[in-house]
Amino acid sequence: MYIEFSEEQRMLKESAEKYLNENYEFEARQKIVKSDSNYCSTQWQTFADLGWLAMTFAEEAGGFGGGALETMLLSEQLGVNLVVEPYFETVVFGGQLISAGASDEIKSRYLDALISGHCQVAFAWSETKHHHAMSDVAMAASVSGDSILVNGSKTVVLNGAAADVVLVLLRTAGERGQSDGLSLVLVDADAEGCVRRSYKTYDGRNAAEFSFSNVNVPLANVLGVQGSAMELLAPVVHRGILSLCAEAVGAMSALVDATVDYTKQRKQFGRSISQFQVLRHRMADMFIALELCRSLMLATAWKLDHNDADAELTLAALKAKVASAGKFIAHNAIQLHGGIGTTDELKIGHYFKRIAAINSQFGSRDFHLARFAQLSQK
Amino acid sequence: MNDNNFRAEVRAFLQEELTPELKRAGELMTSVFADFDATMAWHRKLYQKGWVAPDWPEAYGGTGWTLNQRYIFQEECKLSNAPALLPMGLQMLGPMLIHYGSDEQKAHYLPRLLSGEDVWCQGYSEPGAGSDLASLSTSAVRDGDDYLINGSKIWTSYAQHSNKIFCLVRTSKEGAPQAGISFILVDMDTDGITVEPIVGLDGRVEQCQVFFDGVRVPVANLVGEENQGWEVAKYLLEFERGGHNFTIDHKKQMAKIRKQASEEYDADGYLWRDNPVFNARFAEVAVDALALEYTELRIKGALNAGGNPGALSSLCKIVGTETGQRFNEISMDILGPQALPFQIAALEPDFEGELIVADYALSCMPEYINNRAATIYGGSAEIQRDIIAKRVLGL
Repeated sequence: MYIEFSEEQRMLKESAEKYLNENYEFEARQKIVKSDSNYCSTQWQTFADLGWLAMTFAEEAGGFGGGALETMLLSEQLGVNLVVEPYFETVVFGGQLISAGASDEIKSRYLDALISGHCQVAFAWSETKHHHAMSDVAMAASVSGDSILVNGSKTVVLNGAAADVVLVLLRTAGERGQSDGLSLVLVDADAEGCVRRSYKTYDGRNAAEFSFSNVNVPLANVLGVQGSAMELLAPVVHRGILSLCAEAVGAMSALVDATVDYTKQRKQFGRSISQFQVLRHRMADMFIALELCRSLMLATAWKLDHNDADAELTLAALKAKVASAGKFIAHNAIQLHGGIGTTDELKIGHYFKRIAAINSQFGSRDFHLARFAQLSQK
Repeated sequence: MNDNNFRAEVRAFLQEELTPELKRAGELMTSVFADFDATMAWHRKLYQKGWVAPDWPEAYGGTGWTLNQRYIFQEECKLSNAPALLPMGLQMLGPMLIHYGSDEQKAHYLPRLLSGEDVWCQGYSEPGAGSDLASLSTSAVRDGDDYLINGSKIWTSYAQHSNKIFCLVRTSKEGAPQAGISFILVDMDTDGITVEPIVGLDGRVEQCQVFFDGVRVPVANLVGEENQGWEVAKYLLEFERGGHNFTIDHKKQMAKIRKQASEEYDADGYLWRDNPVFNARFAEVAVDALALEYTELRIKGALNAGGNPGALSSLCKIVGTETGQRFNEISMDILGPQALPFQIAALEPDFEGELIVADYALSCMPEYINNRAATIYGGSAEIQRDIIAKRVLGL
């Protein structure tokens, strides 16, 4: 394994860095977060114009054919700038699922709009008290003829407030706990019988509770094979976890930089607190934790792109390490900033909240450690 | 030659030359050092093959291998339990002499080092100068064409087996402490040198203290100029700290733990490998080992591209040694009282008696004990954190 970035990949990284550092500084971000929709359509349109939304789709679908490495590069920079627009939900998850599983007709209806910045997607899978494994879905739908009747509810659907379409994971066979029998159905968020209760999340994004009563959906809206949604989901989940982890790595690196800067400026006992060895060593440990995550992140991206046999094992290691390193870095960034680090005014705490949110999604540290242990024994 | 063919060639050589006795010596290593006689026997075999110093430039006896090939060679040797060669000459002194030595010094010392005729030890630390190495006080005073050396060096690994020592000595008390240090090569059989063994916690002798009492050494044995030894010393330290592949060590440790966990039972009568608490704990350390493996690959990539590992080598030293220590603790907890029997003779490669405990339990305790030194030698974990804070973070 040796990663050498192509010219295009370097340009993507540079353009993301340049655009976001100039146009998405913390104050601008906070304005968006505090607006009613906590989402900026002008920014989103610019992301589309810069080609970021198209980046990872096949060329025949209007994309640039990018893979895990491109997803990683962009996600990392989104993490550095704490971008709240739903790249993860709409593109990495929604877009990839539609692209991999939808009919041509649905693709031309939704994917083109998505790539040009005019369609928001949410993935609805978790259910109250059952939200740690996708196989733990019980919500069932009945299939009759050419249509599916959807009933039930989904909780904490991220990007749910802004979504134009919802990809609902439900059962067309089997029961809670089984991987088989799950189907992924594309539902128009404004369909009759689909009701949402929107809210903001602690990390400055949006979500919704969805309830479906007798929502009638054409059978053609099933993505992938009916009853085999997990096959469609697996590669998208893998890339999604990588994307979240890259975002966390971006956030962690911003926290290390900010903490180093702050401790140099802050004076106590007549000198910069960066001169105290206990703090210097803490920051060295923060740097170490960050770089270990970065190594796993690069390896995972490379392995996913190359369909390497160890890709899943490395991914589990990455998510587990990001969980512990993310907490270590965020907690210590706040600790070293002192009281001011606990306020809404400073960006430090907002990175902390985003890292906590990432740790809450797609498997905790314990989940991924167990997965890693299981895969290592094979 | 592609890497796979190269690996096959290395394996064939190891198959042929690595005798059961030599393998046993490698297997029984409980620190970075193997049994001395086995080490030198293996050294001579590699020398005959021309493979004893793969990291050296070809003109001085190196192999001309690519970075990848050198890594493969190291990996194959370790995984097949070849005894580790002594690093003081091959890894530290050699590259330093190639860079700073005079033509005469290179012509005299390098061939003898390669052949194994000379065995070197390292005279850096002193009782009063550890992490603060520049405060060293062993003095060398000019007397005609000689220096007269007085003082002592400590933690001198394998001094009892060495016929040469390279030393940092104080030649001036003027200016900054670093500005009065010189680097000198000394014969261990010179009058006035005595070697006192230091017994380690495992009951064996790896370290010594070396005393210098009016030891007369020719001025020609200086490497570099008088009072410019600090620069030479730092160059050598880079070789001591960098270039070590911890991943290979960790893979061996993990294989051993897996073996122990598939033989030994927990309190509920299940094999340890089926105990979820054990698995989670082992996985946590293994994740760090994997993260380090990819960090080492990042460094290799940077080196291949002509770059510099920079402070990532301090990171590797810290994480590599601390991860190794955490693996030791896991082994100790699996084995429980099986780790306690003190059967020191059984750690010799030619031991033919009856083992008290299983072979996989034999070296667990001495490895655990000896590995406490890993975060102390070669720049302690705290010194490495200082380096990261200063050089990487700019603190």
